[in-house]
Amino acid sequence: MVTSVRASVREARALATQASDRLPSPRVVLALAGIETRKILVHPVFLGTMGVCALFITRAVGSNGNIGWLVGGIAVGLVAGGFISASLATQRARRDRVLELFGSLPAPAETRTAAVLLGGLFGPVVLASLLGVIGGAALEADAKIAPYVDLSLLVQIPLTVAAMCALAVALGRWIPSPVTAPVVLVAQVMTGLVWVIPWVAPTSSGIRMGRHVTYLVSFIVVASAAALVRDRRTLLRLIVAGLALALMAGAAATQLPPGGLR
Amino acid sequence: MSIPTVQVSGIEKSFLRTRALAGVTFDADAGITGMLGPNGAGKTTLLRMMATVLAPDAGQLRMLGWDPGKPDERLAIRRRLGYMPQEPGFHRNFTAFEFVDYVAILKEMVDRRARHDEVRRVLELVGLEGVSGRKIKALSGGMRRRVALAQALLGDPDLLVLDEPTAGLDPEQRLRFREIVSERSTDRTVILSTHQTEDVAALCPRVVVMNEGRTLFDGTPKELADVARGRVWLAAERAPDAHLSWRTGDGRHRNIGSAPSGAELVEPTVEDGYLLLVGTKAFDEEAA
Repeated sequence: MVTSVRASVREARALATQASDRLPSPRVVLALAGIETRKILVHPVFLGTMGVCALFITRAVGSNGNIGWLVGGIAVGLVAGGFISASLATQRARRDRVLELFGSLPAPAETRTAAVLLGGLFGPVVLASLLGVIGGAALEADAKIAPYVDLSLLVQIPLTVAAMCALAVALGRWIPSPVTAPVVLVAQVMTGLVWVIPWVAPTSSGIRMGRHVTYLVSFIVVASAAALVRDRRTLLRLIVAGLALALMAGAAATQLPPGGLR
Repeated sequence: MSIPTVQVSGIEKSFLRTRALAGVTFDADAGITGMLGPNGAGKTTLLRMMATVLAPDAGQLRMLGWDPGKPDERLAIRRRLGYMPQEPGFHRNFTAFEFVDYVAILKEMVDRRARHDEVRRVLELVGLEGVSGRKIKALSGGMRRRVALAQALLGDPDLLVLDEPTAGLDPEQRLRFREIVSERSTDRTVILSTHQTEDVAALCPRVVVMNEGRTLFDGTPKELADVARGRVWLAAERAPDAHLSWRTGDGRHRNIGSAPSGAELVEPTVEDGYLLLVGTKAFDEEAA
C-alpha cells in the first residue's frame, strides 16, 4: 500500500517534469471558459442554490425592512452555489482521471485553471450583477430596505461572488477534495471566519467602502494568482500575488470604522 | 535516408524498486507497429513516454524528429500527436460531443465552427454520431472507448499512440477499429499496444514483443509466427515436455515446445510465436 502510494507520487512527479513551459493561449482559455461557464451555471448545486436565492429575495420584498433576507439570499444562492460548483469544476480533471490524456495535449495545465477562473467571472458574477440590479430595483419599492440598496451594494455583490469563485478555484487546486468547498463554507459560518472572508457590507454599517472594495479586488487577485501558481511558479505571478496580498491585508485591517461596524 | 518517426534507444525507467523499462530499443516509421507483451511488460510506460507525459530515466527518445525532453520540441510533438491512454478517463457529465470538443480546444482548435466540424467528423468516423448528444456516463464501455479513439483522431495527427484500443470492443467494433486505423496508416505512424495477437496479425506490418521491460522481438508478424515453426503440434494428449499446451475445440491438444519425432506439426500463428517467446506468463493471461 505504502509502496504503491510512493510509486504514485513518484509517477506524478515524473509526469510533472513533462509539463509544458509555455503560457496558455488567451484564445484557448476563452474558448474553454465558454464551456466552463455553461457547466458551472447548469451544475445541479448551482441551480439548487439559485432556487434558494430566488426564494430569499422574494422573501426580502415585504420583509418589513429586513435586509438580512437579501444578503442571505445572495450568500446562499450565488456565493455558495458559485463557490461549490467552481470548486468541483476545478477538480473535474483529477476526479475523472483525465490528467494523463490532458498531459499529452499542447495546452498547458493552467489553461484549464484560467478557464475555470474566467468561467466563475462569466457565469456567477454576471448573473450576480444582473440579480443585484433586478433585486435592487424590486426592493426600491420597500421603503425600509431601499436605503440599504445603493451603488456600493451592487458593486460588492458581484465582487464577493468573484472573490469566492476565485477562492474555490485556488482551494480546488491546492486541496483537491470534493469536501473542501462544503467544509470551508461550513467553517466560515461555524467558526466566525465569515468575518474575514469577502462579504457584502451595507454602507449603513459604517464600513470604509473604498477600502472594502480594494480588499475584495485584491482578494480576487491573490486567490487567482494562488490558483495559477499551483500550475506554474513564475516570478511575475509571485510578485503580483505578494503585492496583492499586502494590499489586501492593509485594506482588510483598515476597512472597519473606529469603534467597529454599526 | 529518412529519419524514423519514432526512435527509441536504450530507454530505462524505474518506479522505486520496480524497473519498468530496462533498455528498450526500436524504431518505427509510417505504418502500424504493434506492441505485444504480457501485463507488466512495460508497454504502457513506453507509450506514456511516446505520448510525452512521462520522462525516461535514461536513454534517448525522438518522436517525429524531435526530442520530447526539450520543452519547445515537446510542444511540437504534442501538436501532431493523437493519444489514447490505456484507461482513458472521461468527464462523465459531459456529452460525447462536449468531451471531444473540450479536448479539441486543448488541442488548440479555437475556431468554433471549424472545431465543431472536426468533432462531428471524428465522432462519425468512430460511428458515434447518433449518440453524440448523450452523456458519457450513459454510454456503454465500448462506446466510451470509441469516444477515446475519436479524441485521438482529432486533427488527423501524424503520430497515433493507442494503448489497448480494442479492449472491451465487440467483434464488429474491432473490425470497424481496424478499418479506421488501417486507413490512417498509409502515410502516418501508428503505435498500437495490445493483448490481441489477432489484431497484430490483421493490422500490423511490424510487431515488437516486450517482456519485463525489454524488447524480446522486433520484426514482421510472419517472422514472429516463424519463431514457433516446427514447434507447434497437435496431439490427442497434453505433451508432458511442451512449454505450453491447451485443449482445442476439436478435443485435441495444441502443444508448443520441442516437438517429439513423428509429431503432427501444424502451421504456427502469431499467437504461437508470441506465447513461445513470452512463455507461461502470457499463456496464463490468455487463459484467464
